Amino acid sequence: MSKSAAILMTLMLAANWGGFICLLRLALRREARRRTEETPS
Amino acid sequence: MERSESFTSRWGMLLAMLGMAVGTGNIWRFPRVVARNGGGAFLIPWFLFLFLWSVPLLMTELAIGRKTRRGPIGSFARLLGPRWGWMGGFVAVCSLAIMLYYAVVSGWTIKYLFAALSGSVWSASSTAYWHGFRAASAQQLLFTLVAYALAGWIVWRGVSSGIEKASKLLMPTLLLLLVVGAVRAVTLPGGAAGLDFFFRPEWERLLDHRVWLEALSQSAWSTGAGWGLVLTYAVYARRDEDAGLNAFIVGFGDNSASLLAGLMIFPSVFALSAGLGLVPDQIVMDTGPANTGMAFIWIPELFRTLPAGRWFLAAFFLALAIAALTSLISMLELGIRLFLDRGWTRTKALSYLLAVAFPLSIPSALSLDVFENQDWVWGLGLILSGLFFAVAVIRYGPSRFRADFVNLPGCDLKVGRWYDLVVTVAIPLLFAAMLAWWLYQSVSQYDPRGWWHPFHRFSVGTCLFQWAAVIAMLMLAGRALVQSIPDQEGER
Repeated sequence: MSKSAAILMTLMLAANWGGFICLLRLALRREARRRTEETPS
Repeated sequence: MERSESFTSRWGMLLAMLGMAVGTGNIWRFPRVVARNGGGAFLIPWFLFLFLWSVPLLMTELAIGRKTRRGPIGSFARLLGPRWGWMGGFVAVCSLAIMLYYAVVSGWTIKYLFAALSGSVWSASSTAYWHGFRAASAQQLLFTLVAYALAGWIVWRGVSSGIEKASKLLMPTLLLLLVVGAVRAVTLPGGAAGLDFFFRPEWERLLDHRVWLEALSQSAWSTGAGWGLVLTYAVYARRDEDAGLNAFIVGFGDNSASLLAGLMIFPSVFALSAGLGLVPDQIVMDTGPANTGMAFIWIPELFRTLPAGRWFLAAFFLALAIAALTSLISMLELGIRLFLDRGWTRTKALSYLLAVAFPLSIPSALSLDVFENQDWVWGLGLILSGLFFAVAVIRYGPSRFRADFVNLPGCDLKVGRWYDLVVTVAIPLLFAAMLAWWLYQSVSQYDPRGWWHPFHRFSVGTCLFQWAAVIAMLMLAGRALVQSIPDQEGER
């Protein structure tokens, strides 16, 4: 596998999968916090 | 049966939206388009257009559906006034016209899943098997009906008990299948050559305008931006659900699924074609009838040589069937949403829709000419649908739209002024470029002699004729189109 292909593969996977996982985690954390706040103590 | 008309969690809603976005376009179309457009070089504009077309439109749909609590027709009417309901009507017609032949494709994936499991797919050469299947009209109709029945059953169960529950089961399964397939493919001897082909950038191809236009088309069609499907699902979202962050998640998730599919397809083709004396580059670029070449002919042929190939082939078609089914579900839901807006029950709306949709799918099931014509006309129509969403925002006022619809109090991701610029400048320009390019292709390559003809398969004339007919009917219907939609708040 050529060096340029390896670099592009790493960048593409990091940008797309990284973006997806980070944003999904953020969304689910916010959702959990919202639900906790909504639950009457 | 008690049927809740809202998603019970953000996770469930996101999975349903990802199920809508991730379809056969990711597994079947993406590798072929990459192969024909310079490998790694194609991926750069494809990634860029996620931000210049797909995510802003997904965000717009999410914001409109969540706030108006109506399907496409009611949404446009609420946003811009009853005179504009026809625009939403066009969005709905486009997606429903696609549904008519997408159900046929979904049927093919189900048939091939069974054929792979039983091993009958290898009873003849892959090409002969495919042509035999295509010639069997009864089977075409049966499997189209099976696809409608499966998707219809899930939609009938409602949003939380049907769509959300199914998405929670099917989407993780799809991810697992793609990961297993990718790991197996990458570890095959010779698989690295496929990875190199997939990611090696031919930088000079970036100077080719065709690569940019194909990248834009792929991003637009794969994410489902501008189809009205995310708008439909957003009707069932919480009223304070975020639009910006969720749109980015759907966009990134769809791209990630495409990359995973590429990691599965390219190394498999390169590793397995060597043993058969085939040229791998040609295989991944092969379109075949209705672009079926790679998925339905070459993959079965290649997996024949793989140890435990039957199971890997079944896993491939299971992934394809899940991807197709979850997208078909969203199209059916869009269809019945139009009736739910008028106060119909879910059962009545679904029965009516299926009773009309199945007969209308028959021409595409029996004739690849009709199938390809519809794919051409309504696939391009989606670009117009995308523009209509941008026009709606421009008419409403982009800054006002962001304030009233997108950046609600407590939202997770505040969308800035970049959105205004993208919607007012980038999307209309990209629309013009993309439409001009596809129509130019029709005139110069697909049908140079009959490009004006309204009944030719890939002509400019057939696009303009069918779009104009639909728009004229919708405009004639005028206020009647929206009058029967009660102007009251949504169910929640």
